[in-house]
Amino acid sequence: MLQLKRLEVQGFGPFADPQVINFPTSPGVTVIYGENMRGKTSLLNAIRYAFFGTVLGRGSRPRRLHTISNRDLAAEGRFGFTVTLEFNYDGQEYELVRECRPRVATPTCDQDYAQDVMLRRGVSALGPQERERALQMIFPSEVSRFFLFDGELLQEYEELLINESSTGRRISEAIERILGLPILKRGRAHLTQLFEEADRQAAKEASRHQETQALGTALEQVTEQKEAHRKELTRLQNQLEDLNDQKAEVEQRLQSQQKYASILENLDAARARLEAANGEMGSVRGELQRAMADAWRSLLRESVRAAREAAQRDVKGQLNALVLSLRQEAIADGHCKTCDQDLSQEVRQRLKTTVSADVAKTVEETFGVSGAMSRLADLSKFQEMDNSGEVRQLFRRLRALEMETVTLKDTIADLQADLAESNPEMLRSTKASYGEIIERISIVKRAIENEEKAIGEKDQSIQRLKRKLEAAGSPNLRATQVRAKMLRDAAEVFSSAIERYKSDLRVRVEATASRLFRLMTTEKQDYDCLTINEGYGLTIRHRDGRAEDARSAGAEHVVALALMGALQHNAPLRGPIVMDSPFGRLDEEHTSNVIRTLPEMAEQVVLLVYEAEVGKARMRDLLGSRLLREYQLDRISSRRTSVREIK
Amino acid sequence: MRTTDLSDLLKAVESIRSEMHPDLSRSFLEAVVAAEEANPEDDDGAMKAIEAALNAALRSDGGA
Amino acid sequence: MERDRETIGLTPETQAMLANIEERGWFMEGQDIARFCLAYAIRAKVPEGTTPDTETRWAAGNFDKTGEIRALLAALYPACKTPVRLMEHLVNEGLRLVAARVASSSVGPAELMD
Repeated sequence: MLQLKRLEVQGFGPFADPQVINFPTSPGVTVIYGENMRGKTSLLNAIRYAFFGTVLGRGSRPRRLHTISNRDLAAEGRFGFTVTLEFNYDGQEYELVRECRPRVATPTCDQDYAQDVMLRRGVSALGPQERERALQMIFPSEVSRFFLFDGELLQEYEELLINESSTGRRISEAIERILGLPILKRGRAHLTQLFEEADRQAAKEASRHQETQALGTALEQVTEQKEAHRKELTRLQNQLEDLNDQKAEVEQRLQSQQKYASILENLDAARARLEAANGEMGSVRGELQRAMADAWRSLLRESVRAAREAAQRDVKGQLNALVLSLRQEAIADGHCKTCDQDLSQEVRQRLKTTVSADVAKTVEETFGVSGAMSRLADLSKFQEMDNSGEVRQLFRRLRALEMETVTLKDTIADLQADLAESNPEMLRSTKASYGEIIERISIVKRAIENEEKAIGEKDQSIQRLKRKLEAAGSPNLRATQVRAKMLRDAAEVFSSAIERYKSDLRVRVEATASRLFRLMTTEKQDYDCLTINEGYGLTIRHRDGRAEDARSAGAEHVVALALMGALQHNAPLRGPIVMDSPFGRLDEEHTSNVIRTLPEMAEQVVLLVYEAEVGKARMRDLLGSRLLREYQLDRISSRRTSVREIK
Repeated sequence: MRTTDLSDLLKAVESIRSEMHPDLSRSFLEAVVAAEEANPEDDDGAMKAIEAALNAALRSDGGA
Repeated sequence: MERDRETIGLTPETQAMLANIEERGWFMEGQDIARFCLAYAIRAKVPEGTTPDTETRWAAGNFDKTGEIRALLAALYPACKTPVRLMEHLVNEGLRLVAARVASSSVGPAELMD
């Protein structure tokens, strides 16, 4: 188990001068108080830097080491920093010194620094390779999140409940790491590799002897074929892993682009509609223009009709006038020129009376009959038509389309403005990529199935051949076969042990996490326990058995802390918990419960808080005798802090 | 990590061994666990240690 | 007697009006506008007359390919002995009338035909 003993920082963050924290060695809690910007996170980072050579900023993003140098010292031209950490690991004393020193007079970037590391075990300094192996064994970086954390990191644990989340997968893998599962997984892999090699040796051995040559050669061949399938399977599995990572990444991008994706869809639809509207407008305009070429005729229809009627009346009037004048002549002459007959006195008298009545009706003979007839003839040349209805309809449609295009252009402009911060081409290509990746995953999965089936078939052939060989084989061959069998059996044991161990662990982690959760929650009446899923995600269960689906950030932190404590209790890898202001999302009661539970979570707990979160009096009351030591981070200036033990 | 810390892991391995392959050497399996613990990032180192344990187990069993 | 023309022209003012109407895209070409405006003027009972200071735009034969317009003017303006001049006058007067109406954005070809 890892136990911190002493931390010294110099030139690191606000700690310009060397500052020391001595950690008590008995089980309990050390509290370090400091206001904002006084260096609480820097202390957490100093421990991280000592072990891993890295420093994290907000969002768990690595920070440039150049920015860690104390700014007061930097202003004096003194750059770089040193962290010294003394610790105990499984009864052995260690001293770890990591220094970041400038290579140039005025460094401006990380490349201007060199890093020196020294790890002393007892009295001996370890060589570089041994040092790295030792550090990886003592405190693997991939599990640091369970020992060094803040509220931001705690929030990530809810990803464990999301099956396909890449963050959730990373955390699950880290949990399995801390629980020791890689030992079994690597053991299985190595034993498998070794027994396959032993099988190949056995096959080679068999092929050297006449009585077993055929069997041996067949076994070698099948073994080689199986090996080829296995290599292909491994390649495909790696490919699938890459594709799943790509898929998760694209899904994340799509999710963050979700809003933009629907805007883009609307934009594309609007553009398509605009194009269609413009096209339709073009053809409607063409039809209107064709109609308007003849519209002049429609305009004159009524005028021509009126003129025709007038001309017809003229013709009629003039014909009447002509007949009248002929009758008047006949009355005067007593002779009709039309029928060339003399008229009797009686007829002349009758004509006189009718002529006087008709005189009033005569039309002024202005143009003569031939004029009116000529007008009628001219008017008949006019191609009468009425396309006003058609023009009306076409123009109405054109106007509607013009309105629509204006509206669409406005809509498009608005949508483009909404998309201003995004990259529409990237959105489109992200969607296309997603589709491609899904398809490729499906192809690779099918190929994996085929390879697994082929490997299974080869395996069966191998077993058949081996049985035959065993019956027929020489003492040398038998020895090789015994070796291979032992390795194979061991690989099978490890393979089954993985599932057994995982399921045992889940039961134990769930039980411990539930116990810790019940200590920390304020809903002791309603909440019964936590249940764990395959990926170590924890769900809160009510007493009625239902799951608590909607969890606040505060509840998330409490569950995450319960998981951390449970891992500490059940993992082979144990060490101190150093937490930086983890109470941000918790109310007062939860905060009190968590503090009271801290000693249950790990043997050595270091808590970095500011007094507004939890005051000294309250802390002492909550922890009682489990509070072993207190420190205060005192402000010397805005750029300098000193560490003082509170006695 | 010390082997005492791996007791739960070893328990799981032992329970499977006794169910599936009771003739398989228990100490060999423990040695495999120890080899993996001591070589977390070193495939060659782990496999060499496993082979050494295998040879020892075969010798003690009277094997080749 | 005054000799008739063989071409139809527009004044600078009515040229601009024609261009303005052309921009609206309701007609395929300038002659279509001119014929429409001529008909508009006839319908509005514009009396016989002449328009001075015009610049030639179209040949009368092209303008009235079918001879309908000439026949129409002979019927509607029987006293007129110079039908092409009359055509020109009616085109210019018609353009003035139509341009005045379409100055309002609510007037389109359908409204002109009402």
